[in-house]
Amino acid sequence: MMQIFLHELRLVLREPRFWIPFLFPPVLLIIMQIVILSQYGVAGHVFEPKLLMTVGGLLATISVTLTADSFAGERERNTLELLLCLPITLRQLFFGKLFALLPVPLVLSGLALTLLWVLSHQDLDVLIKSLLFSASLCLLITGISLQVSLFAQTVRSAAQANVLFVLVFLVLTQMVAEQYLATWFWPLLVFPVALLVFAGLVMLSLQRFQKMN
Amino acid sequence: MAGIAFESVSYAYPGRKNNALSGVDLVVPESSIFALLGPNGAGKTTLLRVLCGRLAGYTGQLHIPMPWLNSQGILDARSYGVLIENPGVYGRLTVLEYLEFFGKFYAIPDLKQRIKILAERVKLSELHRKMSALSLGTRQKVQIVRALLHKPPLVLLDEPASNLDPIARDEVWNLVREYNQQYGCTFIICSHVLTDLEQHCTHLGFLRNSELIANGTLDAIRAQYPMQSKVTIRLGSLGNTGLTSHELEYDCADPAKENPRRIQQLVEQGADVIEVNVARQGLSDLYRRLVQGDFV
Repeated sequence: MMQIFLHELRLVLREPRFWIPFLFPPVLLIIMQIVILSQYGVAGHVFEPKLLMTVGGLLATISVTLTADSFAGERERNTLELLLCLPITLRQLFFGKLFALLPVPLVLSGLALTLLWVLSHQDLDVLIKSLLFSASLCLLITGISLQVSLFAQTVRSAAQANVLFVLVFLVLTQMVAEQYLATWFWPLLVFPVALLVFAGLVMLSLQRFQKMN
Repeated sequence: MAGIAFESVSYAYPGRKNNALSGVDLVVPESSIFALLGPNGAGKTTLLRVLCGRLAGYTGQLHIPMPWLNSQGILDARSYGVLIENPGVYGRLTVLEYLEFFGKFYAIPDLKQRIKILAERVKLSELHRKMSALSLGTRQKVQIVRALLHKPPLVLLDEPASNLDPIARDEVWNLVREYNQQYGCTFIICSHVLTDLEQHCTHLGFLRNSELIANGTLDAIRAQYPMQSKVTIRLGSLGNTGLTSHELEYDCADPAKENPRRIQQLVEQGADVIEVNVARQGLSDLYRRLVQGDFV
């Protein structure tokens, strides 16, 4: 499983189209901040606690591109067949691929949020809550797009299907952001729930993967 | 001679009415180079996938030598190397990285050295080039090296010659023969390049419409399905044969019986026989007649 994991991670890191999108939201915000600060001073500060969380949500949604490519993409490129002929179990192959999907969005969104937090002089609470939110959303989105990726025949169809629920998540993020950040109740509830849902979706996906192959 | 035996193996893909394999009885002797022939869609690739354990739910029996089986009773992935038709590649990896990735699953001692030796054998010199930058023929060589990396006792090659130039094809066939003779590897090869198969394969199986229609050595199949040979006799003087041409051509099923009779007759009529040429029908002719059902 470790070899598959390292192989998948290497493929993700070698492919700029997978990780460059993670850089856009924070870089744009930093540029905006610099421009506005230079014009209006501290009064023109663009960062609000809600914005940090929104960026976390936005970065989490980008993980769908990785998931779509990992399963639908392998099938489309006819590279999965050779992996299935390797002396490893389907379970090892599946989890090796799955675990490689998480580090890049989690690490890059963590780094981006921390950088923005440093620049925005927010409370540490806001950073931790935003990180938890980003991780929760990342797990949920990966779990759902995994299902989509296993049903889709091509990366394109997987990406089109993913857009639908990604939009829903982004709108929800905007709607619940203030309430979420107000107390510790929601962050501490949402993360374990997201973990549980993710685990359930992964088990369903594993069954589907085993049935397909 | 032990080997792989398919006994009345049938398989239908889920959701399809027609069988992809219907009652296939086939024996692949161990250490043979077995050519699996048939038109597109005849069931060749399905047969290989059944053998690899990639398709569950087939009926019939599949006998595989014990040392090649895993604990679940199916062909152990360590026992075979496979080249699938049109395999995808990871374009961002170099050839060496690609081969190392696959090789690591088989715990091959001194993997890099092994890759280099095999690469040299097929004149694959671009080990540090990205896979995406390779020509289709070079990619094919990479796949052949990958399939042979762990010296498996069974090698399944689906269209190994596709995209290869004639010299590269010779290199690959030389490697196949070397592995067969030196290590006793059994090869099952699907290809449409019949001249290569006729030259290099020891046994053949013909599939048509999901059924096996012939199986055995080429001579055995020829004996089972006799075909006419084209005989040309070149004559010096024509004597009183009544012929107007110095070349006499005829088709016959058994030249060994027919030719002496004809030659004796010509000599008796005063003709000078200079040369006798017998053109046996090749695998290509046999293939065409078998798959077109001319023998039925």
